Amino acid sequence: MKIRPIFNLFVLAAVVVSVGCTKSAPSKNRTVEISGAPADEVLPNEAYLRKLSFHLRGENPSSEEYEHLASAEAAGDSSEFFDETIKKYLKSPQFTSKMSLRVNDLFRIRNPALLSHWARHAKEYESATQFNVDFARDLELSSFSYLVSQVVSQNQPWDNLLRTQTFRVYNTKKFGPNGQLFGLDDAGLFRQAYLGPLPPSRIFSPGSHASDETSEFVDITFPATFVQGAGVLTTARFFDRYATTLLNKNRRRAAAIYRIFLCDDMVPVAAGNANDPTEVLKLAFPTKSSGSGATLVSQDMHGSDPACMKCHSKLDPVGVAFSTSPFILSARPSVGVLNTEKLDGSKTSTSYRGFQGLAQALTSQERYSACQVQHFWSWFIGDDRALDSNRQNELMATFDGVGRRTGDFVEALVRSPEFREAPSTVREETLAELQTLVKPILKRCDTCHASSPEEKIPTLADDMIGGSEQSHIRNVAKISKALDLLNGGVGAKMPPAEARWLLTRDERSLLYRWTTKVARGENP
Amino acid sequence: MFHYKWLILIFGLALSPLSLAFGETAEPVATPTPAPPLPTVVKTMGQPVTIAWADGREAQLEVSSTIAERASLAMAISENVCEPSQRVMCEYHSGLSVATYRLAWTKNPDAARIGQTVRFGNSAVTMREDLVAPITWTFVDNTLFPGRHEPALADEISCPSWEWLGQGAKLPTSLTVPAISTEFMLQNPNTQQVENKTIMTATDVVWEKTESDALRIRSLGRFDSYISLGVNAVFIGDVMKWNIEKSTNQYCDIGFKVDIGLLRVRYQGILDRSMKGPFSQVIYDGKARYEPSQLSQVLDLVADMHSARTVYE
Repeated sequence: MKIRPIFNLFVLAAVVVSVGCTKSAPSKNRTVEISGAPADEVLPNEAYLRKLSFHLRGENPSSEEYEHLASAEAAGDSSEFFDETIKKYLKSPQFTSKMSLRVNDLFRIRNPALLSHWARHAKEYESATQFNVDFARDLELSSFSYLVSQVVSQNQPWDNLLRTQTFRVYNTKKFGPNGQLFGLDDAGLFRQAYLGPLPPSRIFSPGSHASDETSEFVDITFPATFVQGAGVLTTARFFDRYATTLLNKNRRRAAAIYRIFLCDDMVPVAAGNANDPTEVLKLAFPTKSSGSGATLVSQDMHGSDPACMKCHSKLDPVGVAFSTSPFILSARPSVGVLNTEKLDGSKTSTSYRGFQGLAQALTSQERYSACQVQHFWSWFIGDDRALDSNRQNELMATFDGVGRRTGDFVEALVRSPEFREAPSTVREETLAELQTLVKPILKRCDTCHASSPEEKIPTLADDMIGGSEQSHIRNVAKISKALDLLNGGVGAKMPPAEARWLLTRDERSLLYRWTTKVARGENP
Repeated sequence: MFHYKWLILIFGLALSPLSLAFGETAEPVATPTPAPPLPTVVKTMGQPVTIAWADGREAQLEVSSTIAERASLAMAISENVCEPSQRVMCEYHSGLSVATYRLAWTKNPDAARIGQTVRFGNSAVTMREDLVAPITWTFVDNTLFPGRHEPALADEISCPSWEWLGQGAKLPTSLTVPAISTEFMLQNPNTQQVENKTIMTATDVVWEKTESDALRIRSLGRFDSYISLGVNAVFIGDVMKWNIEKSTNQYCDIGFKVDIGLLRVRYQGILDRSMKGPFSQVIYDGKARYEPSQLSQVLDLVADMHSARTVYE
């Protein structure tokens, strides 16, 4: 049984974009079509039940559920059983927890580790398992996690992750007489911006955090006219994860927003080791010699380099939303512009005011809808199964058709033929297909290598590099080494910094699969 | 501003038996009974605050007069998005107020010790320390803890010109800065990476023009901080950012590098002077500012350090 390797044709789109920010975006350029599976290639019922349980709950079905399935099959109709089971799983706390973990991964925020003193909360839950203890603590302490859990458990529209103006915060004893905060949490984040009554402040006393009996939940709902509350964007976990500085100007936050909500990855144009920012810094802060040593020519070169501006034209106007809120949420909204592209590649700009305005601008984008569908597809169908443009359009229609409600859309996915398809029906990409996909990348290499004939490097985008099969295999091995594909590009020597472009993770994966096939001796 | 070590001491106070013994009564308060017994705190309205040991020795709480000064720090504009061409070297005059509390012997078998600062230490080692507690506060502390301290000198900024503010050549009579932030290196709990991050914001900071054409801080809306270790809470890090409203909902940033190393040097000088006194009795008057923030910091030394091996001389 072969599982088809990760295969993302959107790489093609990213390559066409040339330098600058590349999109791991939902793309209409996917070409691999896999039709609905024939009846004899559908997962058997038991396997389907197991897959449902793992994808929705993260655990095996119970023996009783297997028995109920067997009874339903014996009665000649298992569809009713699966209807009930899917609905039951979607309502389970495990589904909420599993989705919370997925969202944490998406936001690249750390999943909470167990703190021993929280074990005492176990008694408050019906089933005092470790699962409940961890989950409860996470829910209780984090407005971010609470918000995600509400969207999932109550089958709310997925857009509420961005749009909700209602938050539950855990009000600790961190506040002094004037409400000053020591340490960032959700209550502190909101205290400046929220104009309504928060519970009475308590005297700050270091060490008192060990006793949290007087801490309490506070529900905060911003009035509709107030534009500074916007779902996960205005939670302490987001602020803390994507901290800002005077130099950064909230670009890190903006980049996270583009990546998470528009599937638009911002990649620095300077090449080199990903762990070594030297090349990026050289570009951003070119130096010149002077009597007293190297000095900055300019404090910030962003804005004058077209390659830089491919991303900064997007990042900077979105970072503006946070300009008055570098540390805590400000009551003062900023105005900015959301610059992005439609799925057909045409540019679009949407003005916004405040975080809520930004959230509305994001959720109204076609690309947002496509991106979120892509996330759900990755979670429930898998990245090893390409999402073609037609299917993407269908799913976007489904997403909208169910009012973007989280559980309803997940239900549609786990009922889809792709979810029920037996793994053996997934076709492995051919070398010829890979060759077609890597050509645009190799043409980028040729733009430099072709101009330096003294290095005697053949045209890399040729079907047979160097003209013969032996030469082709030899050159492909060189490419693999220069890009350090075996180590995920950590020690890559190519492309050099002056090339002003980088391989994306998907491009590197594509090249790895191609070089592996060539090394195996497969013929194009 | 509290020196960081007093924050640690407050932590100790919260957990100490002595903190439970504080009360409004004129009677000496009994304490738990480790051996030897803890000294007791005697607070009688209108009388000096006194510490009494079981062996008959007594000491009273005294306080130095307040030293209030401004430390002038070099303040360079490192980045100016509001007026990019305008970068000048200014001075930030950080207001600092310091007073020192101490325990002084009033009854001691060694007559020479009377009036001297109580020294404490471990019986196993010869090193002894004076039982003193210097308290530092600034304008920010006055705002955060109103009534706890005497008034502090407000911070000022003086510059050779003011175009950098983006308000024209003339210094405005009043200037509201929506947000002032500073940065510090901290570990990101999500990534475990140590990184620079904004960890303090003072909002709606109102500055007023002085007669000498400087800006003096008049008020601030809120102050929020991840940590509070600076001598002046405004300077947790040496990178400071002002967020200026250029027009409605349009903001720009001005960045400064401030020589906070000099602040610590100046602070140490003021501290040394304050520790030398002169000192006067602290008369218990039931006012909040002696209870518990300052008094307890000294008294907590007694409780916190107390053990069978602790000596007071």
